Amino acid sequence: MNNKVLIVDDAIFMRALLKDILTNGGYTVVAEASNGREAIEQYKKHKPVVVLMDIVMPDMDGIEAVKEIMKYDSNAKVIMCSALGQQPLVLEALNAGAKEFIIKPFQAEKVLSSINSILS
Amino acid sequence: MVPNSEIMKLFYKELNQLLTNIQTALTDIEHNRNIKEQFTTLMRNFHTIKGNSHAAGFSVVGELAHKIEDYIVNLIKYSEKIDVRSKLNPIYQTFDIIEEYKNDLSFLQDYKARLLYQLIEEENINITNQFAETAKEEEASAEKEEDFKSAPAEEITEKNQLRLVISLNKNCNFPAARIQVILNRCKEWGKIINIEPSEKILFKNQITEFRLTIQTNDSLTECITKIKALPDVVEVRFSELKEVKPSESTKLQIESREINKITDKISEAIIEKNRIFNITAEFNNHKLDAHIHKLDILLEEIYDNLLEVRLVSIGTVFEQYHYRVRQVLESEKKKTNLEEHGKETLIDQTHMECISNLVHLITNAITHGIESPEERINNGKSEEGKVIVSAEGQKDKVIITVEDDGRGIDEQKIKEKAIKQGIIEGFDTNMSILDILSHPGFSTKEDVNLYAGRGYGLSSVIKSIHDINGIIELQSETDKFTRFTITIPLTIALIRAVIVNIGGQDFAIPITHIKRILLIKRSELVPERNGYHYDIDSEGNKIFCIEGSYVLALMSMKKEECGLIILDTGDSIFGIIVDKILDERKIYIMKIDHYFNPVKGVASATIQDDGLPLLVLDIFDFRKAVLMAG
Repeated sequence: MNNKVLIVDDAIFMRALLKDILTNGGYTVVAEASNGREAIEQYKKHKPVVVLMDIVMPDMDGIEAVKEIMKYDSNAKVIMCSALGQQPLVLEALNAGAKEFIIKPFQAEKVLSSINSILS
Repeated sequence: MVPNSEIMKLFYKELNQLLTNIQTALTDIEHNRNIKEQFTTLMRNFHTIKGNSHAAGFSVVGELAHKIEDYIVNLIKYSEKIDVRSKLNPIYQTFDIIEEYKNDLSFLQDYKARLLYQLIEEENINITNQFAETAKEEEASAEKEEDFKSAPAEEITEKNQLRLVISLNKNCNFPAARIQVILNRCKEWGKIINIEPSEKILFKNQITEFRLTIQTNDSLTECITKIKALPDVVEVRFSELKEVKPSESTKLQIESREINKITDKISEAIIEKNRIFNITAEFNNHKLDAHIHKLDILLEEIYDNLLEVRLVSIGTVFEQYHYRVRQVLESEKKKTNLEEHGKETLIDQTHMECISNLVHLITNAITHGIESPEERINNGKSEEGKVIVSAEGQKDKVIITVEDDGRGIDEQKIKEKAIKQGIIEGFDTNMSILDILSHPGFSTKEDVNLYAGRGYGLSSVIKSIHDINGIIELQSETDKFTRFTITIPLTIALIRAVIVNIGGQDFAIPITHIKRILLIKRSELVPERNGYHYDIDSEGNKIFCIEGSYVLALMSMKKEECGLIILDTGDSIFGIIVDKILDERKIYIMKIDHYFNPVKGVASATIQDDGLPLLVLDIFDFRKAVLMAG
């Protein structure tokens, strides 16, 4: 089964945390990106089954990136990684085609169950 | 979940970077540059600190960052109406407290953070109250428009339309977003006709129960089962996405230590290449020579590129000064303007620490150099003092000056004091004013107006400059100005040096310190105390010289023909007598590890083409020896 995941977050620390959770949950982190632009490139390159996308990032934010990724692949499955208090941004991302959202700080079970939910 | 120690290292590394970003943004705001953009940067960086801290288990810091993020959002909202620069205090305080504990956030106590929460909240309420009236009006009119737009669609009687009541978990985060997810999923198998209450109301009031009208080919049971498997449903509103301006390419975060490693490796590779070249030269194989030549060019190019990576504009460090200046001005109640020139001047990243240390010179200038406004007016100066920091790049070196238009340094008085305190014996001393001022025993406590406290920061400044082979000079005129001139090599790793032979051994002398190189005869030297005098020109100017072999404890043949290297350390000029002057070339400095005992007269080492080490002379050790010998 294809279990490739792309992690997008400008915080190295967040990426490391997510990678830890995903690896322990049986997923393969094929690439990491630190902004929206990189995310699009990496998406095209690796065709991950799921993208975990931070919202607030320099250069190109997560919402714009979701929009671009959806243009490229309308079946893309993007999960937004949001902080508390960002509901309007999450809504914007969901309107742009994101499938799910998780809230920081991450709980391993929630991260994994939301991935499972959109893959089923 | 407790992150492991490797991940925690990343946390702190990143925290440092985020704090630096915040500081840069703050100074930009002080300078009135792209205020809106800088506030967004502040918000984004505090936002990341918030997320990271919560995830790392530092909820106190996470909360604090959250509060300040809200505050900044509010400032951005009202940025057109208020002078946001007058509202920076809570941001500075938050920055300070995180900065203070940035090495271990667990030391940040709850009560400290709580005091700050309150402050931020109070300030936040103040700002909101100030503008609440106008804001409410605007909102009210916006709402009216919205109500008009979302007039209820009452055609719920069509075929295949299901009207469902959906409830969400009352404790769920982001109920509106949750509803949106459900809606999106519903659209995959049906058409949404209507939702009640309206989207606007749902978003505003965190409602967890709503009605959804959906047109679908599924049966009611199927539909309910599908939705039940998710959380729940809403109307879809198309929202224009905000435009994101593409900025320059992504920046890599590289620690200077890591760059140094690469630089060292490339330096070694160049040495290795030279060795191969020496061996193959005998073969007379042109093909081989051509390839080695290509390799040579490649390595040089890599080295140059790496050098470019190492270089950063000095302006980023200058900007940090503002923050300190602001702090000092607040406590000193003095009026001073800090001017900067040559901010685009490039310096080696590894010199950043030294340059940021220069802030001591600036704060000293304000504390001790600049007079009080009254005193200035009495002396016929403008009320506001001036401190000018400027940088200028010159081929292989960078010259930085820090100048104030304050009361200056009275050399005579300083020397009198130093004699009284037994630091020097008489006015005719080899010790420079800088030496005296940074002497640990020198104090001007009784005479605060003279130069109080300058020694403390000054000695650390001098040390950090000497550490990177730089020199510092002091010029001053009483009641007019004080000027420090600092010359540092452009890059620490690659320096130009003159190779000399002393007592049968080769040494390198960094060219930054060399004033002149002379070939002389030993008989021209006039013995004096433990050294010699040499007539440097026909006008009777003499220079004090010392035997290189004397300082390095080597045996010199003391041949008649010898070399004289005249050195300038900024505060003194003297000569070193060497047996032979061999060459001038670029050398790659490698620091001698601390676990070796320091060797007198030797600062660092480099590797020669033949693989043998070459020691680099420590000019400041020689200067000390000259002071003792003279």
